[in-house]
Amino acid sequence: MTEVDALRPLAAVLVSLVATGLIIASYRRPNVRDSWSVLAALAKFGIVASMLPGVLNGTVYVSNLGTVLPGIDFVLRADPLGMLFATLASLLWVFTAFYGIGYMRGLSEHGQTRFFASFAASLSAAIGIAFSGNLLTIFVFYELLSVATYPLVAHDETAEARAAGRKYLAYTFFGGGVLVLAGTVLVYWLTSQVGQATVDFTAGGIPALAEIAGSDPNAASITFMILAIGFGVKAGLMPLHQWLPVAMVAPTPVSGLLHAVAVVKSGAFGVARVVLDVFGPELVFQLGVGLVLGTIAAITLTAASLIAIRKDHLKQRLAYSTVSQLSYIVLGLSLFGWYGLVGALLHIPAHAFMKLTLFFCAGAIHVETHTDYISQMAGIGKRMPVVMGAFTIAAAGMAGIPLLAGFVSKYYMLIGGVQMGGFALYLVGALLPLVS
Amino acid sequence: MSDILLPLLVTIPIMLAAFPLLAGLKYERAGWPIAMVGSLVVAGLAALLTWEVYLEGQSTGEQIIHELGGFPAPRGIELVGDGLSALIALLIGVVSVAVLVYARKSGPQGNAFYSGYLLLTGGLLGVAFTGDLFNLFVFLEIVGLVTYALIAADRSGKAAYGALKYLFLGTVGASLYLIGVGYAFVATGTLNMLDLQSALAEVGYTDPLVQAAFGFILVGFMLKIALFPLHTWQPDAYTYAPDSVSAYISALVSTTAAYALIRISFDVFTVDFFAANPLIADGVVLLASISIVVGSLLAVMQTEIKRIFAYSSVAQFGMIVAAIGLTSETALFGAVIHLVGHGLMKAALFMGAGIMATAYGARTISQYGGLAKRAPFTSGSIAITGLALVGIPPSIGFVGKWFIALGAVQEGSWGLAVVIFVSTMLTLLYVARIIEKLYFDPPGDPHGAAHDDHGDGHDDAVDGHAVADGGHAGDDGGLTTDTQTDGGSPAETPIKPGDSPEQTAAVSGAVSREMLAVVLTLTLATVALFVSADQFAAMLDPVFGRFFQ
Repeated sequence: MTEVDALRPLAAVLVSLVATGLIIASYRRPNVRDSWSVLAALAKFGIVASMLPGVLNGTVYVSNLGTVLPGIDFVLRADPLGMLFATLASLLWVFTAFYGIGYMRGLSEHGQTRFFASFAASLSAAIGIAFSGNLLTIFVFYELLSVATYPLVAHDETAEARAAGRKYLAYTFFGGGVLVLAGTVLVYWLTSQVGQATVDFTAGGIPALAEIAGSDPNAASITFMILAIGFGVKAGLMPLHQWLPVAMVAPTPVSGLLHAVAVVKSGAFGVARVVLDVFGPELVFQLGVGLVLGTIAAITLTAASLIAIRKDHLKQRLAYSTVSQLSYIVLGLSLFGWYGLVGALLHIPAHAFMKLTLFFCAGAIHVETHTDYISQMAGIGKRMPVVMGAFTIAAAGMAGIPLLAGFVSKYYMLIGGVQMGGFALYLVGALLPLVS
Repeated sequence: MSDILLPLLVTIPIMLAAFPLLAGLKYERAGWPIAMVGSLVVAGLAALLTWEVYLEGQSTGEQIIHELGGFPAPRGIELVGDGLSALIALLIGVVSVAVLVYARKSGPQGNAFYSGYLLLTGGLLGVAFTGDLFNLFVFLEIVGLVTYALIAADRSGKAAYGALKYLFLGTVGASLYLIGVGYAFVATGTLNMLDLQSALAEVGYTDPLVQAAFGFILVGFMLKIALFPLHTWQPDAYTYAPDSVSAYISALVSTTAAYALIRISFDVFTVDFFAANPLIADGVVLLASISIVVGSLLAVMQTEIKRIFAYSSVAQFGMIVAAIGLTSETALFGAVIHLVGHGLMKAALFMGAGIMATAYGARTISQYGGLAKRAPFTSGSIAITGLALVGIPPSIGFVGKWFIALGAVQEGSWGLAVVIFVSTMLTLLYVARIIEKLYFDPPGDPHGAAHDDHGDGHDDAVDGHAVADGGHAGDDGGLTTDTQTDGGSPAETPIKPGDSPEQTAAVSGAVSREMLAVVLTLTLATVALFVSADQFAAMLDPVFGRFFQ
């Protein structure tokens, strides 16, 4: 693996931040404003995609912006794992940008400038999370993502939306500002006991952390749990998932952003980073904390599926479906085995594509018919055949029907589960079709 | 050569303080230019001093000492400059220029104000540089008395009440400090800080006289810093003072008191004292932790913006003092960063609140509804600075918090570590409330207002807790806020609910562009200082090397 100094990771983060400024500056001319969104989305995807061949050949692009705290640089690294998330988020933003413009104009929503500006800023933060080279950098972007998405959640400015925004801020800041920060401090402190303190992501885990975990397993376990739950808040781990269904009051493109493009994925991605690059799968296995995390994920998975079936509000049902699907990813990560990891990482893009489709369909239904409840949708397949066709395919993928993406990832996780024993039951149980 | 900077920094503003009044006899508008010249000179000299200390720190790391009038140390008074005091002086310089720019339009007008302003600046710089315990008392008194005069400059009954309260309690604090100094003098026979350091060690750190000396000094400063439960003067003072004065004193007065406490704790009593008296150290941490929690909860309960920020200071200074009690180098480093950062953030917040009050007559949280559309820059500045206060990176608020938390973890002080991490949520409670009002509440929405008072279940629990905990401060806040809401600003036009957002850029005539520029500059500074840890380390390493040798 060769490391190359490059500006491209930085550019990928900055391009939509610049767009945020341009969007605000051209608030008087909606057409110009919205073209900035599209341009930024395309430019961002272009920049990310341009790094793809290099990364596949084993090159890691690094933008180091200097030291922030002793021993911690503010560094962006485009490594394979980060590229996975960045490609996904930037590609899906292209679709979401078009869809969002159509949706917002279709409903003549208020505050469109703020909406698109926050949207672009959120994407900056999401790409920042993808390319973060250490815990501190990811924490910075994780918090910025919370800040940037808050205006989107509270967009409606109704009492309900404000309450949702408040809840969203409370949960995400508890995950980020309290738990992830605490975890980062603890990792820094633990590694400082055996030499140079570091929080850099290292493939296979930080060696110093493995060393200290040998002598102080409890501290390491607690640190792992704090970090995993801190990121798990955004991934909707129970009992800290409640912001997700509440945030459904936001416009549908935002739901797409939250559920598919950036936010919950950033949580799952954070857990992946913690497992793979901070502690390392082996250490997680040795400490036995993977089991704890896996159990939480399995419970979330089952409970959220059951709740999802009982929801009549379409977006609410999709929200709970997200909670359960994200738990798959976390579960896969905590299964330690190679198959489990591959399955989990595969499920990140698989779920993203499927859930985005589902939400866009739900949004289309909302714009067309102003119906949100499944019980009122009888026969809608005849009225909107294309939309419902897409919906059906995506839902089938979600349920893990073969020949669709959801099947592959679940298949891998199932093998991983069988290998490790124990969790197989949960997995099989949860493989039952869940959505619609 | 550089040691001449110290007396210049202290005397120039104090000497100049006479001129606005004298010149005012002939030229009515002379006050502002003179004060501005004084502040600019102070800022320039402080920058020069900081630069020299910064360069020096990399070579020798010695203190700069100036003997006033050429009298040698034990009898005469010394002024001492090092990285720490230079930083505080720089903060004083920067904030006094910024607030003065702001005050030109916002007032209070009149040459007496500008005289007081310069005198206060001089007093604060004296606190920063003095190397003598009794001299410190003198400067503290200068600061206290001038602050009293400036708070009362509003000439309203409430301002007089707030000022008088501060006068009484501040004097009590200073007296307690003086008693403590007296004990130290009885024990050792010297008042010079450097002498005391060795003299106290000879007497023994467990000697009751020494312990009592520290106890009195500590309580005196806790009152001056306004830690719970000795904070009662501070919310009234900050709320009822004129806006520019609120910004100035909230950024600097408690800050220099906290600085003096750091100076005395580590230069006079030293870490060995805390090591010999673990109970005192733990007590400081405990009191400070309570201050963090209760201060935040009280802030959440307020309806008046300035009062929210005032209680927030109680909480933030809790964090700083907790770091002192930890006696950890890392935590103290964070405390100094937070001291500077908090000063800048609070100055920006209070001036932002001042702009809102001048332009839109909005002084309470319910009047802030929908103001973001009419005052986008000020709202943005309040939102960003507020989030910086929460500790959201990239901002200086995060850097200070990181080091204090890291220090707490290193010292194994888990209780404090939890309090500091949870303080994110506590600060968020009151900051998010303001942001939500600004951006997501239509103006004058009664439902929104009612909703805000109750919040969701989480908020309710918090409210109940705070009432049980701080009943006194709670009703003191409640009563006075109500009256303030009614009669606070009858002259100003209330917000009209249906006002069109077209007036966005047209801030009303009472707010000048400079005022906005100052607030925005300070906001950007709090964000830019995110990467300042290295510079702080270069300034403070020699000082901390001495503290923690």
